[in-house]
Amino acid sequence: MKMENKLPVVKKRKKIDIKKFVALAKKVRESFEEEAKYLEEKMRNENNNTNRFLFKS
Amino acid sequence: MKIIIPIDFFSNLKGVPLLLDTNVFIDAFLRPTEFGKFMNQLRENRITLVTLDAVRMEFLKGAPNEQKYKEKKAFFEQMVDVYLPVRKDILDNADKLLQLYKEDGKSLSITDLLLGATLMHYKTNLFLLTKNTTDFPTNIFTLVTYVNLLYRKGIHTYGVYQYKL
Repeated sequence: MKMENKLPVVKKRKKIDIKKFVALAKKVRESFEEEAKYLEEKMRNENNNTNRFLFKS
Repeated sequence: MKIIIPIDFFSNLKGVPLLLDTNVFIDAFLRPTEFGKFMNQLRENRITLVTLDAVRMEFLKGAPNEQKYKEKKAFFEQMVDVYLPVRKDILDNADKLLQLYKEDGKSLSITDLLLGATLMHYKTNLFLLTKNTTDFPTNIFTLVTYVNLLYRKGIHTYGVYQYKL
């Protein structure tokens, strides 16, 4: 194996604490839902702007 | 949901580090108990979990505020042992890959391209875990093994790929 193909060695791998991981996942999910809502709203506004423009033309 | 792992899954992985695609992190927050256990199982089998900064950025983008950004980052980092750097030779591989993909490369995301180029660099020393099985065609990558996610309605599949030598 060439030197540049070597991957870093991990001496101690993490262990996920399932309880804490589930609690954190809940917050992450809420964040993604909020982001999706924002994106949906943004798309709707952009569509409205385009539609308005098309109606006038 | 239940993660169905084939009997020879860990022996096929042979302790080779696993490069995680963004969809692994997305499914993990949707099904944290199952994915948390699966990640622990991988580590117990001496598999190092690695990813790229491009994957991290794809996951973190759009966070509405600093607190949520930190929570997303903390969650993400629970699943990562090492970040692999994208060096010049990996970018050169990306160029080569684009030529191999031909017209299929049109719909390829930059993150997927970098994942593929990283696999190309590490050859047999790195595997990719992804649910995006259509963007890693078997004329370029070898499907080493797979994992099924059994839902009440339907089955999703994660492929484990390496660059075809």
